[in-house]
Amino acid sequence: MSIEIRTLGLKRPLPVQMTPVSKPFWDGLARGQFLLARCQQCERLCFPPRAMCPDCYAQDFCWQDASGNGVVYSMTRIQTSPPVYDFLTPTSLAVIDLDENVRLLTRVLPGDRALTIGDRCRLVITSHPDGYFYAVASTD
Amino acid sequence: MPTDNRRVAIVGAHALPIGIHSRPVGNEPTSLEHESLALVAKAAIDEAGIDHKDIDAAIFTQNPPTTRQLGFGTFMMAQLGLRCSGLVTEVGQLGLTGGVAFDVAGSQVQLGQAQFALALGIVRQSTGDPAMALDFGIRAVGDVNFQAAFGIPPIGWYALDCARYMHEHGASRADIAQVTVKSRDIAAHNPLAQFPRRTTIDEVLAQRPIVEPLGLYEVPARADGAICLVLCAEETARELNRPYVVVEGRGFYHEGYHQIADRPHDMTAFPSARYATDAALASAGLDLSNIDCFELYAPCTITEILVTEAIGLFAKGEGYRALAAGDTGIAGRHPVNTSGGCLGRGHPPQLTGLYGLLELRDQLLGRAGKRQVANMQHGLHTCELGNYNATLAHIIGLPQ
Repeated sequence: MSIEIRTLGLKRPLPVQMTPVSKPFWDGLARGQFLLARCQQCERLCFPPRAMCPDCYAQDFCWQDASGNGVVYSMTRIQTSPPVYDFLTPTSLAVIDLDENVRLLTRVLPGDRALTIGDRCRLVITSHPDGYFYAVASTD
Repeated sequence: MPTDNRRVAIVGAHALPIGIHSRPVGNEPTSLEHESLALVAKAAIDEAGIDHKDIDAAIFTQNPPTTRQLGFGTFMMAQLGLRCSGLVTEVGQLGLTGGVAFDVAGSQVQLGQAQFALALGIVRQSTGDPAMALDFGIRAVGDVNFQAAFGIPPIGWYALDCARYMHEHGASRADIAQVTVKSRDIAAHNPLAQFPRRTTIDEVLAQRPIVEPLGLYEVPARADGAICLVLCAEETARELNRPYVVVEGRGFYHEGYHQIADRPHDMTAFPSARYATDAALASAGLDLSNIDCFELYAPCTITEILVTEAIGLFAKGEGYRALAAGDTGIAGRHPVNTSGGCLGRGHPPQLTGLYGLLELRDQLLGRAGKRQVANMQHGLHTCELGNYNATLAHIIGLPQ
């Protein structure tokens, strides 16, 4: 399943710490995939990727391609940040519930129309000079 | 701390008014953290009527990352001239910090490791680098790779709670912001308060946005504070022949999430507050109707409303209506944050738990002046971490 990749000119505010546990997720973004880790023993979906399942403690995961579609659970607009985050502010952040029943926090894609709680939304992968990240946008 | 054997008493306390403590003259600070805290501890020890040589344990709240002096607890021991055979350490975990210092100091007494134990600390937010402090806050309350990287500060999570609560229950921003008006009305009568000037709902709503829907007066300001409580066993307190209060109950719960879970859940329910409070009530042999006064850790307006619902004072979605009806005022059915809370008294984060416990002591001893709740017998205190992912609750009461 391919998710839109949008190029943004600025670097990410914090360097990503990539490990064998999380590398498949970050590699997936480069291919237009948003990957969720599924526990091979109890089927629990995990996001972010984890070293072991917090429910059954199994360490074997497979990767499931998320649709990227979901609903906005809550939102805020941040007006103040330390210098390292300055290019992000003011910025809107959203908690979204993916259709796969996974919740995550992300940023609203700059320039996107205003989202509100309860709106359908979609993930967008953002391409930066130092790698990939993700944001949420309206479905229009 | 277990509460089924020796009961712990608070026999002395002292605190500085919350505000800005050190305004530099030229390039020179007017005082340093250890200088201020030494005098605060002395005043608390004097109030207990004991000698500093009687103190066996000192539990310090962990200093903010902006503090220049590292190793603060052990450094401070030299300032206080304490020689302790019980525990000396710094403790800290976000908003729980003050409550944990109290908890560990009380445990030292209950375990027989200390006849007298101090729970103390100092916070100087005003002299620290604000960018460093904010960056620390962001990295403390979010996964650094998957949440903090979006730049969400601690109060941003409460803003998310607020937006969701307004959406679900039809509350307006003005409904929520009434917490600030109430807090500052009360703070006008608290000599320790950072914001003793009253405000109006129009003034609150006119402030610039910080983390929408919350504006400047709906989130905590930078604050300095310093406080020391002196603890001992109740039988020891009785012999001192001075006024004291006792720890009647204690509860703790961590729900196993960090801010939000990766499976959808009710973000505004704060179940840890309910479980910790229920455990504290059970250990005290009390129920919620026995509690006369509530000091609830609530950095933002919405937090106070959500905790009053979470612990069972009001039904889900009714907390803001109860606030409007005056139920949480000093003369209300359930007085909440009679100190003025984080938005009136002020919020030096690592110390807020200790200031809340001090308020309960003063209420129980009839020392709260115009903030006094009538017929005080029992008070509940909570502090928390994350988005109330964990809660530590104590019940403080009068000796029987």
